[in-house]
Amino acid sequence: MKGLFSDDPFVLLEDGRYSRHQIVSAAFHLSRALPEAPVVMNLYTQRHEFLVLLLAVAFKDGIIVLPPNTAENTLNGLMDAIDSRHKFIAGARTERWNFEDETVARIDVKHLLSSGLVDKAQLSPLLRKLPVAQIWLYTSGSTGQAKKVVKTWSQMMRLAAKAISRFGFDRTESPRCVVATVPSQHMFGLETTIFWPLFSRLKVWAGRPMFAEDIKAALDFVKPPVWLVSAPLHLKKLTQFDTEWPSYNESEDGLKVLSATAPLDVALAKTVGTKMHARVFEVFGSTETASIASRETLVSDEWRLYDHNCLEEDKNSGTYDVIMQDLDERHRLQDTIRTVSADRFRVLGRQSDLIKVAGKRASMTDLNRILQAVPGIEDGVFWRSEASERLQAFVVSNLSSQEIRQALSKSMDVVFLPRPLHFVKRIPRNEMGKIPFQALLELESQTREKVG
Amino acid sequence: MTPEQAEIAEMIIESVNLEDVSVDEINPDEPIFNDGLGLDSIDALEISLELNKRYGIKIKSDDQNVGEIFSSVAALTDFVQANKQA
Repeated sequence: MKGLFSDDPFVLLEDGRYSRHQIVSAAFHLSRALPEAPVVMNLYTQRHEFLVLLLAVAFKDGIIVLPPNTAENTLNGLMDAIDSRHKFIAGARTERWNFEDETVARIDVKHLLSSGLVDKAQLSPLLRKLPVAQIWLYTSGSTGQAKKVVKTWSQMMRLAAKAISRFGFDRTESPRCVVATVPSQHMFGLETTIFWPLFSRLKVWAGRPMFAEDIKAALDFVKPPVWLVSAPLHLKKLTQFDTEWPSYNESEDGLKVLSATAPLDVALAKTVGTKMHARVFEVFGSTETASIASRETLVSDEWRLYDHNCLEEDKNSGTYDVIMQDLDERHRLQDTIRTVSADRFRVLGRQSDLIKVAGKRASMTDLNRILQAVPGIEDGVFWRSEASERLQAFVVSNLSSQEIRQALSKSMDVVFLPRPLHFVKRIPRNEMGKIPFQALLELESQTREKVG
Repeated sequence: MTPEQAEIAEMIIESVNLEDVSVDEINPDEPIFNDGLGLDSIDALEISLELNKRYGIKIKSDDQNVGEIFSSVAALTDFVQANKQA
């Protein structure tokens, strides 16, 4: 924990910088205004604001809730399910949602950060509370029944230590800065923008840039060496812009790209590497496990487990568990994999019902249930074609496509909304009520002819 | 809807695969994201890519406020008219 008193630059902004000591001090000031054991939904997007709230809640023996998406029904559903007298939501621009006033906390993080450094003697007793503090994350963005995953700070810190050791984030030569397009509310973002930097020598860019020009500006600002943390779909779009990416000197350790949430294909990794003058890495993981393995995409398609992780096959189902011997944890993997050696494996594919769009996981069964439950839809089914990353849907309904989209967006993450939505006379169900794969293929080709 | 707004609406429909929506169904003053067409941040990136290709526009978050630029077809059209390369 002694790294948390460091006065070195840690979070970088265009108009300033904050040290770990400043952030921990701001959290101390905030914690004095919080009730005991609060349960707080953290919607902040700026990394330092997110972190101040995360720490302050832990200092008061509270729980931080990180929602899987920002659909209003998801957020309200999670809040309703929390049994606490001291529950609230905090974030920037919370007026985007129709929350009831009393559930939203107004926090002036900038003011807290300028309220003065707190000395070690006062901070130490609070920092000792961190290991048992809880963070709640959720798998799957598709339904209100998302599965809750509870991680303690102690677990997150030990998981982070594995990645820090793998990537050498602790080395003393010029520390890298993380620039990330992923939200801190999801496991990959929580690791890369919060826990890895906080407990290593990494620095982190405060913003969450999305557009190509924003990312370029952030890269220009922080100077190499830098890690750009993103996801395949985002990287794919970025390479299509005519942006002039910073060209780093061959000899210097310039840009490294780190991707996760879905496998990056080799062609895309090559394009990213060439256009952005970067080496391209990936980590493999899930909400339940955090990242467990890594690879340099253009060097090998084999994943190498972090230290002290191993895999064990369940002979009956053919699925694998990852075992973290040092953490006393075991988790079932959702992917079909094949081991190559004790610490290496290949990923063969996902189990069929689970799909991923833009890094968000959902069950097709759940999505179909939501679609079919919309009043005014007689029948409907989601469909993913080979051609597109996005989902399509076939529906039998007199509603307009806008009405259907609006209804769906209340109950599912918007990434899963159908693009496009096809109106059909009937869904080709067989006598068992099931829809044969072949029938959907035919339906798709018919609708394509109509459009064309 | 003005012809310029129709052009932008058409571009949005094409770039995010909303073939089931027709231009006249879009109200130029209604929000594009979340409440309106239910688009997300990858869609915003997709639309910004199309603006880059068609009009040479490079969108940055600190150009006014991205939220405002993308708030409606009308607002996006005004932004494009003001910023497109000749």
